[in-house]
Amino acid sequence: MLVLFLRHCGRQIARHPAMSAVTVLSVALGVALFIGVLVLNQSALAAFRASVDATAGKANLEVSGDGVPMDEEILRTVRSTPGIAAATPLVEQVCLVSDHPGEYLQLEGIDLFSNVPFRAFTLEAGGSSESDLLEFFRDPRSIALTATLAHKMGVRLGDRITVRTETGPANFVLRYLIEFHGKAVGADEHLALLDIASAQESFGRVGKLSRISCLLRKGADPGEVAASLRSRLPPSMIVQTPEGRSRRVEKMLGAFELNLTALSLVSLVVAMYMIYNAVEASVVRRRGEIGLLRSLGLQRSGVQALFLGEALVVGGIGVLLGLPLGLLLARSLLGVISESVTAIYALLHIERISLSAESIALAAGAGLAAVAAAAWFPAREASGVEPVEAFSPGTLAEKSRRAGPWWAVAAFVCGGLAVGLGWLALHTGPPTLSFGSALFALLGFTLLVPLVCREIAQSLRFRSVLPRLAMAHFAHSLHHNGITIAALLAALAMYVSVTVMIFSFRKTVDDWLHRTVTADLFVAPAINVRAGTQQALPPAIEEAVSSLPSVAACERYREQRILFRGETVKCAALRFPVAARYSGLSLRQGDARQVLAESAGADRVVVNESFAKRFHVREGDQIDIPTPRGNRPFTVAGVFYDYTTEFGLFLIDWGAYRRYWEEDRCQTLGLYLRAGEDPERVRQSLQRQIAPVGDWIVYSNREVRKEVFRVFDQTFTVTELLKGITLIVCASGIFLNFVILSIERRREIGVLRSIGVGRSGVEAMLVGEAALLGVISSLLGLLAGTALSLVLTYVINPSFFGWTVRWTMPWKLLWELPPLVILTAILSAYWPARRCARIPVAEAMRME
Amino acid sequence: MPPFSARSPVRWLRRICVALLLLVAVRGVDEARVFAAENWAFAQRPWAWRFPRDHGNHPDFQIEWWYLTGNLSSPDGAAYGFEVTLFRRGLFREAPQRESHWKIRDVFFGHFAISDLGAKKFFFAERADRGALGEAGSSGGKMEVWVGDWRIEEQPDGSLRVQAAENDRKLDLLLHSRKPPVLHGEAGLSQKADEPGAASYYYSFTRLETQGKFEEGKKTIPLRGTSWFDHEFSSSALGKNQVGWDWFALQLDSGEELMLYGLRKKDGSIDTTAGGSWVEPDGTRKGLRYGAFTLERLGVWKSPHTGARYPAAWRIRVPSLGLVLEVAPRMADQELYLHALGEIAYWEGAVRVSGTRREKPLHGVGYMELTGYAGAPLQ
Repeated sequence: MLVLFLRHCGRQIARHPAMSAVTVLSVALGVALFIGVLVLNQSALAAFRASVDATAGKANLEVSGDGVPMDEEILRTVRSTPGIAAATPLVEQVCLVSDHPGEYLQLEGIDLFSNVPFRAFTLEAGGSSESDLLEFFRDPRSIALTATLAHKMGVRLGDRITVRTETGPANFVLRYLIEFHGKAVGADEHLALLDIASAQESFGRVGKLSRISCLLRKGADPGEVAASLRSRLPPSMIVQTPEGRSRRVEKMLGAFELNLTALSLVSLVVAMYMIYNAVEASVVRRRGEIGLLRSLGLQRSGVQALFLGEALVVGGIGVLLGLPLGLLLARSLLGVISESVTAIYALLHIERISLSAESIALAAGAGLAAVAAAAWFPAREASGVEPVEAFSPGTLAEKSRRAGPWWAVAAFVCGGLAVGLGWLALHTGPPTLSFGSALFALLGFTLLVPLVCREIAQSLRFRSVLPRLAMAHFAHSLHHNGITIAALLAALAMYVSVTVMIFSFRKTVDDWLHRTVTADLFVAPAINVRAGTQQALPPAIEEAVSSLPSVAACERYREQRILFRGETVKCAALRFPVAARYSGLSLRQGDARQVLAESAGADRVVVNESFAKRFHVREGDQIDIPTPRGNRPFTVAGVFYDYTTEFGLFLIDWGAYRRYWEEDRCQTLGLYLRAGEDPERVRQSLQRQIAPVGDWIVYSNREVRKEVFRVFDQTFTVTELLKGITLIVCASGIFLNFVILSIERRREIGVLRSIGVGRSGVEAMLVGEAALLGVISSLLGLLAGTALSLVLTYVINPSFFGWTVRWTMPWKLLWELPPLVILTAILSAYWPARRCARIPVAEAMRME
Repeated sequence: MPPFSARSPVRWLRRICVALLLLVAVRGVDEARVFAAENWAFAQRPWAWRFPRDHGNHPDFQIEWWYLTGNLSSPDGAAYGFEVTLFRRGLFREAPQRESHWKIRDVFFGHFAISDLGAKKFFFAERADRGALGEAGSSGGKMEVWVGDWRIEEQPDGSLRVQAAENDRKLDLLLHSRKPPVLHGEAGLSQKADEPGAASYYYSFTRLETQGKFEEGKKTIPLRGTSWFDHEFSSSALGKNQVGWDWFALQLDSGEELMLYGLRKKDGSIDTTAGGSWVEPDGTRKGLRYGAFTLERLGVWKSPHTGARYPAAWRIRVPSLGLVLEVAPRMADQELYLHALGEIAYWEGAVRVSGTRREKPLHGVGYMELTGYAGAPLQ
């Protein structure tokens, strides 16, 4: 049996290397994308978790102001809380390295004494001179870097490093190299350690802490201790487990990952379809062989196992090729993903691929399961071949599955389900239901395929013989063509819908930027551009900028994250009077100018749409916002359209912000120039004046827009892969389809040739059929894609991200896509058609 | 070599550990080349003692500790040993002129150990704090030193109180001295190596009547017994050729106490700076110098934790007093092995004393400290 199996496989591969190659390639591609995305997601999380572990070490709980420095006296309260065994403080800031342009450090001021029980690193002084003793505390300029970063920057122990902190340049001397242990291995190479006293002094944060890590007493309940900490600390303090911090980031990354995972699943489905077609082709081609085996006594189950096994061998090769391919893919995308995640969510630097045996097993398992599932039906069909039937090709019935009315019913049911799930996703949640909605919408369209094909076949009547024959074939071969069209439709619909959604999104953001981001110039610390909002502008810079004669008005912007009703939201402080006059903020209800002007200085906030949806608040509602001075009631003065963030965001006037957060430094300045001033000229002179060493960046409105779209386009680069997948599906699907059809129709073609139809005639007939296939699938694909894009725009986006995107059709797509698909269809069908047309007539007829 | 001593990444921390070891039991001194630049005061002349002033801190000296050990028992006869030691270690002679409260002048450390002699269980913990927010510190002029909620202080009535808690264990004791402070060496100047200044100022309360309680989980155990208190300050480390020390604080049932220490050299012999004190029931002290006593090791106990080989028991002879004593641990495993500020291991625990004085049988209890047996030599 084994010999038989090996021969069976070997013969197939040897005789049809091209087809086997296509199948292997498609499985490899599917598995590669699947594992690539899996590994990317895992690497992003692993990098983040390792960085959390590096500083949190073995901590069970963390207290932080989430970006807002907290009073160091809080440490005493924390330490005296029952259940806390130990607590260690941290002061952190992300800074650009002045003498190594482009590099930044995530500086962590630590207390080497109290962090003893937490520590997940050691410091290596290199040499062993006695004078190194206690240098970490003794010399305020001592700093420890990771070996990788020190190497990258070309600095050695004893070298000076100058960084730009919030208060000015700070000089450090590299004295130690950090070595991470345990879970912290793989932490961000940009972590740098210094003594907490130096950190407070260099960052201008004397008396302030960024975070406190806590260790619980043995047997203490983390929930109880967290609750008792919360009751003792100001409500703006966040008490959470380090895993909770990771989880919050994971949650933030969730939507991003969802896109990638969905994409990788599509690629697997595509691979399944390829396997289906390949096995089907093999079955059709080897009917004679099957008949022989059956008549020699091989059981039906044996036949099925033979074909399944063959598929698994071919698929297995694909899986083997796909795994390394996927890792290569992941490695090449690491940088892009790091940057996207940093731009949108949180500072993250992924250095290494995080690969676990489980993820390899999962990817290989998923690949093989997909292969087995796809090969199951054609293999069963093979087992159903009766010996008699197989030996008399005359009975090669074209078992066209009739498209009955119940297909239409099923299609409508699916449509109904799509609408229903979409409604649920929007109104009750959970947001994942919206994917169900998309799935059923797609399924509905797929179910319509046989009906549409039949209608087309019946309504197109040709006078000449060959086109008529082609139509007849087309209608008869629905059992193959239907599946090919359905697969093409699915791939096309994915592509079209994502393209439409991105286009709409881009257009909406563009419009919104034009209206809302109206300042002519912006000034911000350079590190904020490199690593997300990290530092505030020093007052001196602010003063120098706002007193320029060419500046008419100046908007001060400060943003921070806070925990509101258990979720992360952004809080942005603005000068409401300036915003009322200059910004083009548009509100859902009411006039923005009036609302902003009236809210200045008052306990009123303006929330974005995501916020309103997420927390079910409306204009006029009162909400309790946790501030360092306790929970304070604020009135929601308005709801504005916003596309900067999928987080909830509320705007607050500086008057109120200063009152409750006791913070006055802004992170970005927006400058409105006097009429007639040239922004570019002012920008250049400003840049020369305040930022000769590149610590601060001055950028114009145009550049902001460019930067927004750079990040935007980068985020969606990955979806470009969809286009490639679509075309590959299209090409290889049609190729395999016609390989099958040409075998099934050998006899017929023999007859045609013998009654005088030329080779070119046969070729034209088959290629024409392929073109028809292309036409139908591209039209249906466009239709389904448009419908899906509506689901994406109006169901998935609002329910996941809570923002309103205005649906816009990129009309270009309509006239670009069908020709491309039809051309691909023709080209892919050409080779099988040619081969088919060249069958020696006598041989084809001999079957009779 | 025991495995814990060979970890290279902790090399610099081990340097702290060297410093710590000095603190742990600076029964030794060096010419202090490491700290010479800091202008610390050195123990060179006899000290003008005044109590309670000298119970407080001496910030002119770099290293200082307050040290309590004792043998206690509960009403139902369960026996316990305890150690609470709090250290001050100066980094700068002058307080640095810096803004942050986290600037360091002194670092405070603590070791806390409980020997449950009945259950043969040994528990120990360590602490370190720079005292930025006042959570660790020491007072001048009176005995008051604390590291978190570990605290040794003088009560208004002159008695001492010690408190230490770690996880679900909590010790709280009141101690009354039966004798005035005993000044060791030359009126409290205790020489530790041949180099000048390689000495410490050192006095003890050799017999403290102790009562209090030990809480373990939900259990509260009332305790009574006898304790020993040391206060020592200096600015010097071990001598060049010294690798560790053996120290004994023995309280005899007949009312006398014996303190002996010997600094061990690389070749295993005892340095000539070894010495001790014999304290009569009325508090009179008789100084013992090198040569006046012998320390003989009996057997070996191998630590299952660090692999270090400690002397299992000792025979002490003081011919001038007609004293022959055998000192044996009340429980074999009383080794502290600490990782926090470098890899440090030493044996410190409750001992039982038996023997004869002028042929008459004698019994007692005490505490013994054995250092420098684990890992590489200190220098």
